[in-house]
Amino acid sequence: MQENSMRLGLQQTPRLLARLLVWRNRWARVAAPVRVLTAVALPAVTVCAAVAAAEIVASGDSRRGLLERHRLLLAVIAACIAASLVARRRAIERSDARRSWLAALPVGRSRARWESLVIACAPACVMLMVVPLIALVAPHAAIALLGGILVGAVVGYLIPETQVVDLPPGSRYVPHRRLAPKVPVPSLSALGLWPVRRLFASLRPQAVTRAAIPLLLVIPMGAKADAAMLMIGILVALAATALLVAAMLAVSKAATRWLLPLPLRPGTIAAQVLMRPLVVIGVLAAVTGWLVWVSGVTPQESARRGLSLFLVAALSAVGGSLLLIKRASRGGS
Amino acid sequence: MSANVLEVRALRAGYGARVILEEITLGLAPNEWCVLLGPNGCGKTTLLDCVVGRLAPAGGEIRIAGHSLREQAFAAKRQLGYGCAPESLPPLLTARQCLEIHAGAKRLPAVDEEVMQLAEELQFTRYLDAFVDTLSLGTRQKLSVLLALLGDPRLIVLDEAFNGLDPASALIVKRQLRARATGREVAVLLATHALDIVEQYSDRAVLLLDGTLRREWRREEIQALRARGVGFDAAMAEAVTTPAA
Repeated sequence: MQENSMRLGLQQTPRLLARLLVWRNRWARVAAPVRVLTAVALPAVTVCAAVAAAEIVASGDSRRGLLERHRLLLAVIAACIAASLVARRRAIERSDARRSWLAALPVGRSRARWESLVIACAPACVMLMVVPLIALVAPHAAIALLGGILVGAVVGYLIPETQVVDLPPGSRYVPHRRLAPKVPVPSLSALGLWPVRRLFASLRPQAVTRAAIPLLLVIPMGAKADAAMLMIGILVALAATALLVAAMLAVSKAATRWLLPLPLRPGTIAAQVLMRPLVVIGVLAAVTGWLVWVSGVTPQESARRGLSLFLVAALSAVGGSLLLIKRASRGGS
Repeated sequence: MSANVLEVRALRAGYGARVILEEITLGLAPNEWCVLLGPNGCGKTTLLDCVVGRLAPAGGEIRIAGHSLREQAFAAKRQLGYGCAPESLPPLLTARQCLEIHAGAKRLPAVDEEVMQLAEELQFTRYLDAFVDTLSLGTRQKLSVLLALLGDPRLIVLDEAFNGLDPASALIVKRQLRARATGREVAVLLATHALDIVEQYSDRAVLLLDGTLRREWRREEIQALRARGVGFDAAMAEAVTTPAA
């Protein structure tokens, strides 16, 4: 009944209705124990946060004063995050709306405008959920935070649309060799390029921008430029390693599924898919070790850390890939 | 040893507890082009997935050129050419690399001259160095067909291979498949909704309905229908709506 009335209310805004239904369907597909756990955990976390806030207030904790003193900084950071999230969502929403399966539906101009406003500002609305918790501890900081989020959301929404650049075919953020022999030469070696290309494909400007925000926030206040640069370098190498491991796992499964009808043994696929990315992981681990050494750690300790990174990444990539290849090569459902 | 290129016996398959195919028995002789028909969701792709080894059947047996797909998978797959759905092609490889990988997997010394010639006829060679995800549906479909024809397989399995192909390219592919099916001991199994292929090119059409092979038409029957002025679409619609015996 309630759902029907909600649907009737959203009938004139098909994009919102579609998103709501997608969200509902996703939720319906979540396993029942996870749903129960979430239903229990959410109120519990809220209560815990409220209790912790009350304790901080009662004990006159210095963190409270810290929040109040730095409320302007808090507001600026919140505004920046809200603006980038809303601007990103707005840009995606704009480009998707043109190609959407709902694009041809007759929706009034004003309705379409507020529909896109609601969709674009959804991340800012999620951010607003933090405000009541902060208000329990530091009311003035909460007001500043609220103001920051609202201003950031408005600025993010009003950022003009960037010019769409149509890239020529074959130049999608991935290194591409232009000169090649005319007739293809039979070889499986291209399989090793696939995970590396997937790594580059996941490093698109939008994704990098998104990842840069938490990365910059991790750097402690007052850090010197050289220390900050080193930290950024190490974090980038670690992130690239993690992305490459994820790409190796995904590609192992996809390649096995694709090549199942061919007379190829799973071991051959594994060797071809994994060898080249493992070399890249080795290079990334060496770079990480070198950066650690530059930051002032002893050579032995730096080498140990680089080697540890290589072993952890290589073992998880190889182990996971072999498992996925084995499962996929069974041709199961 | 069976004389048929493809022999499917009492095949049962599904996803988890959901049964899609029940007791499917189908044989394809050399030089035979068989079209698999049926409404959406009737199990055509599931049957093809079982035939090419992408889905492990729950029961029954599949033999390709006399080799059991379960016990002699390697030998069976050597005789198989499969044109997968365009969305299954690897997006971050170029068309050239896809051809190289398939040719490498089939242990070919070089990519067939004939396949490259077909690529030229289909005006595909200009896309050889483009990434798969930048190709249109029709161009990816051409790549899929080229991959299926590599290595001169004895059994060619194609899933909706004519979707998105322009009429001129579709005609080239149909003639190529007909020529292979006629001249070289090759069998073609094609799942499609294009009834012109049934009427003009295929040797046999089978209707898959509710997980079973409901009806079969031989070439003579199809020609007799045409002679009577009955379209194959009407004959098929009647077969679909008629309750199972």
